[in-house]
Amino acid sequence: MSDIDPISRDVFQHQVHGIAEEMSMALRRAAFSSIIWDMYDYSCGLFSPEGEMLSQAETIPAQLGIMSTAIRYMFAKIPRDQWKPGDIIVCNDPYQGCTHTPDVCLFSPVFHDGELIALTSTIAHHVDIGGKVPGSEGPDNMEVFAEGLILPPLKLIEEGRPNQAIFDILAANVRDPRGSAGDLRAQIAGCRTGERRLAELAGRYGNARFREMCNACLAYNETYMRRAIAALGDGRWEAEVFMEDDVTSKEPMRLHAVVTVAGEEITIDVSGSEPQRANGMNCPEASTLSMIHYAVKCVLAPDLPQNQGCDRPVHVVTKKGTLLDPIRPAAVSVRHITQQAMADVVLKALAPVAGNYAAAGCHTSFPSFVLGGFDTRPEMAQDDGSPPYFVIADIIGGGMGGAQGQDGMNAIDSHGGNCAILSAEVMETLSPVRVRRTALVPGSGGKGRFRGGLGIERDYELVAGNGILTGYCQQTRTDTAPWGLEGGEDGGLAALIRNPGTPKEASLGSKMVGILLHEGDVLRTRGAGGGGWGDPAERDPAHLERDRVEGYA
Amino acid sequence: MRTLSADVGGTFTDLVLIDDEAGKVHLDKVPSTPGRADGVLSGIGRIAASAGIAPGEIDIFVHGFTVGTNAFLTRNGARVAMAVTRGMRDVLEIGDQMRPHLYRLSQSRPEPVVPRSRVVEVAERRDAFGKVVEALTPEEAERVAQALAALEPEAVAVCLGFSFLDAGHEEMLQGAISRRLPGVPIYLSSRVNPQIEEYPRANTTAVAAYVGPVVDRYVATLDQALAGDGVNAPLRLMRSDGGVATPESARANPATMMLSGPAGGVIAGAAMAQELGVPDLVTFDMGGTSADFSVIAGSEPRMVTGRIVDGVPLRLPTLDIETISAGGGSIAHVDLGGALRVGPQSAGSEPGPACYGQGGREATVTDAAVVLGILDPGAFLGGEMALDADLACEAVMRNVAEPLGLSLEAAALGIVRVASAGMIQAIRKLSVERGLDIRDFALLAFGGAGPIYAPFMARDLAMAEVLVPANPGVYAAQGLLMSDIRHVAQAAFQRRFDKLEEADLDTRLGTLRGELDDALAHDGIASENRYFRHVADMRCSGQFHELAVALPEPGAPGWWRPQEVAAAFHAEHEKAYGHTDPDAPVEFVNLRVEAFGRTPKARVAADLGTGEGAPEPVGHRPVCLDAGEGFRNTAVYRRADLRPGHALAGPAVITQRDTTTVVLAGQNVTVAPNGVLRVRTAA
Repeated sequence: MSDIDPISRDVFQHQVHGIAEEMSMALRRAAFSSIIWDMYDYSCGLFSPEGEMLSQAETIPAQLGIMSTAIRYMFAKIPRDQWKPGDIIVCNDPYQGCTHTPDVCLFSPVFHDGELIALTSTIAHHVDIGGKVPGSEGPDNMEVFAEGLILPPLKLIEEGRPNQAIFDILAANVRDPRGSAGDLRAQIAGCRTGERRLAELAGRYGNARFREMCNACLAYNETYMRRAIAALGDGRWEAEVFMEDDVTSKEPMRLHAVVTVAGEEITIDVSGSEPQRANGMNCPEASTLSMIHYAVKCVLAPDLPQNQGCDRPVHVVTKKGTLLDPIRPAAVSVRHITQQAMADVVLKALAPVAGNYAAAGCHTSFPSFVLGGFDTRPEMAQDDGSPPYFVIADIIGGGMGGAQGQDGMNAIDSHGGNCAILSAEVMETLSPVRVRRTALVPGSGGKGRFRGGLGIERDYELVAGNGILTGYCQQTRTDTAPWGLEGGEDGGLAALIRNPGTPKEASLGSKMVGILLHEGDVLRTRGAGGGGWGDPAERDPAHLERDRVEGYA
Repeated sequence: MRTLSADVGGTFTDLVLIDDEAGKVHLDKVPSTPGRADGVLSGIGRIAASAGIAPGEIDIFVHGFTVGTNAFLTRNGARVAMAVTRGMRDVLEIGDQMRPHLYRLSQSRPEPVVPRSRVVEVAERRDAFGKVVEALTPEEAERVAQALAALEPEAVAVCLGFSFLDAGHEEMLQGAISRRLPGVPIYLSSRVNPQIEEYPRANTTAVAAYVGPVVDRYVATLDQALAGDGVNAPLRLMRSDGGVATPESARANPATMMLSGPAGGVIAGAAMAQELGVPDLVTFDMGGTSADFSVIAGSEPRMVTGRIVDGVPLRLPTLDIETISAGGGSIAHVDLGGALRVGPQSAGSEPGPACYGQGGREATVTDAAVVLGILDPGAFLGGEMALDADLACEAVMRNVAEPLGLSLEAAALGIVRVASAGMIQAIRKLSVERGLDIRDFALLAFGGAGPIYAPFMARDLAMAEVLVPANPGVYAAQGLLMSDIRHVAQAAFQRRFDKLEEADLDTRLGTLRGELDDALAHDGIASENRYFRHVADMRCSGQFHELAVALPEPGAPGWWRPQEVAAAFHAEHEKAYGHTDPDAPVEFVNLRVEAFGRTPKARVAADLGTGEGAPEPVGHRPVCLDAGEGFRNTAVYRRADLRPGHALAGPAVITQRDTTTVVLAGQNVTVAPNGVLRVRTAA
């Protein structure tokens, strides 16, 4: 590979990245569900035959980061020499390299001139994969078996021929079979786009040269990362953050990270974190790796186009049986809130040395709303007069942490996610849920010279019939609030409230599962604000005045 | 007749005057005066004088300008107050809640055009079927009008929930507001963008209000000054959808002009497609700071129903144009890991590329072209501006060659290749999203820099050929003169094909068409010069993504044949996504009618003469177009010497005042009857 000049390599990297983006467009445009089309909860990546990511479409870091771990498991189950042209492998098993069960992962081999030259992968969050509650996610799940259908690595499509049994089993186990089938087809379209285009590219370069180019791109990111790590200087930093359980115990769950830099290598040891618990917040190994890599990239190379060369000088130590590397059959369906907290603890440890890339604690509150039931609005009646079944999901944002020179952004989905908020009009069109109010929460940004961003508050009203509700969030207490940095104050708290402002008002803590909502009930979810950066007394008077006039403070 | 266009760009204002009585086309370029009319006026004076006509002899004046766009991008628009349904106050602040960048812990979004302190909530509500849940009372309308008036706005935007299903409440508010704020323009979301999803609808409406007064002031000043200078030709303004509008109808929705900047080039491209019989092409307009791309398929420019502009959605019918920040001024640098990056930072026109000798020290794309010998330092802009080749070499050496350990020419070619790679991606994105095979397309290159890079890009994309028009530097301004008057009206119409009443469909389409027919009459377009197109956004019932599909001409009994329209939808679906489910029921989402008013166009068939074989080059100079070969003594041709029928082989460089065309080894050029250069890979 020594004869590859940097220009040719950079052009190649552009080309591969373009293919990942094309996969993403193909997937999204063919998707059926609002969770993909409106909320962007899906991912696409391209991999070397060894399973190292070559490029990704930038959507959801939490999904993207697991793909390479999953490929390792796929190969363990279906050896590489059994992957044939036209195959598509499906898997969603959290204990075989995948994440939580609703994230259905597809993988496909790319052949050119009879040789395996690359792999594609798409992940889509299916709005439901069966299990105990609509949406399949339950903070109170005790085992992964409550979380719907588990698909081990299987050939969903074998040399171009669909394995109908898998489609039938899926359809029989999920609450929205039509949506799921449509989204799965969109994922397949994404994989096929990647295969076709990568084979074309290999055709232009020749297989040997193509491989060399891939290796050169990975090596480049590795070099970049090594230099950035070395620039931190040797040292050891540690931090802890606490998560709210509120299902098995009122005791919070501790996440702990020790970060060690030695020369050009960085090690993140999270083995001192809480032992696994009998709730749905355990975070499978692949998801842990993905968020640690995310946090390291934020601090060292946020602008570097991602490939897995970045991860080569990064070492992660976990301990089996902990929250961050649980033993089957621990439940994992809301592992995303743990992922957010894990990014948070690594960023907190690195904050003192992150320089311009440091920021105060971001909201990791993840206020989620999932409702399922029959849509009894008369206008929705099906041809036979019966009401259709619906499942609807929404995630609202909170504030980013303040940073030197910049207030935290208001109203964003943080770290591992980057989901859009569901349009109120779309939600009410698809389901008997009316959004009565969506608002910034004044004063929720932690005070500071640069204040934290504001959280969002949203009120959902069920306008017809009954529905089964799952809702959860984090950071509802002062000891778990987004942290201030350099003298900044903590961000405002998240909350779940039923029927706010009425005699029936009730705070629901941080978790609620399988609650029956009735017509006219309102659920309020609120995202936390970001932590502030720097001494609030040093805030620019012009910024203070603006906060007052615009009602941000 | 004599028609004049003036297209205002960031640096230059391009003018084209076609005088079909004299059989002449006049071209000029004057410095732009952003936000003010004097640049345009002095340009008109100059071009009229050089054509030897009085300003009063101009029959039509078509104007493309970016006053509204700039006001939006720099947040220098009007003071807007907005009324929204209770609970929606922060609709612009929250947006889609996505962060623009995945890995940056510190980042920001563009400011909303209406701050939350100027948003007033209204007690009213409709449900998802358009039924009133909470009625808007006259008292509440009065209260809201009063609260808005207290904010002393220059314009008002109104966006109520589900107003695209029933505009009643918005119209009632409009009445109350206009009584309190006479003369203040009021923009209703049910008019500006009657379409589901409150955030894009509210944002589009707010932006219309934000740029409306600014555009109004500009047009009024211009109108007055034109009259003062004796220009009394009717004024036509370029729209984002490729049509033109009278000032009055532009005022009704100024957001329709937000993306008009690159529209002229696309319209000219569509005309070129017809003229040359090359129906499928990609237009590529590259100047100093940005590059614009669009797809023309079957000689028709492609349209989209909305675009993201500066990070926020504008939902209006717009030519499907992809813009990236890649231009002659884009800066090249080497990052921490040793990769060459080009842009998005730009040296702009101040200080400009290093070779301008105005103090710029960074290596830019233009500097690379100078290093490679593609640009002649003594002949830039017809010799009006001398370039300093030493400064260009120094910058490329320091910023790129040394850090990467490359030779000077390898570094300069690297800049060209990396810049091209980014632009190639933009073309792929446009074409792939539409399911088009780009290899069957021609690349139509214009703007000052387009013809330099197009041959490299076409080669890498395996595109059929590169087309370079006669006057690439003022091509967009020529396009303005080819546009017809255009109006668009849209209505939400959510119905499954198998459940709709044909009469209902007829009524909706008829109402839309009636409105537009009135608008064209108002513009003074005779009925024989009016024509209409009917389009509907459709989708598979239950799916999210919509496709715009043309409808047959409605009206005649039995025109509505749902099976045929559904088949057309499925064919489009198959084309765009590679699959379709022909058994899935199809539904309407929105109905749209586009109305056109044919306007007279001056035409001149220029006598270009004829040529045969290869023309005589004006000289040779060392040019490097291939890293392996280094500098080769390369033939240089003057564009003015090339006549229809001429043919030449690359490598070659063709120079003209406003651009330089590169021909690579292995590419041939022929000159088409209309003077267009056709650069093709040698068989």
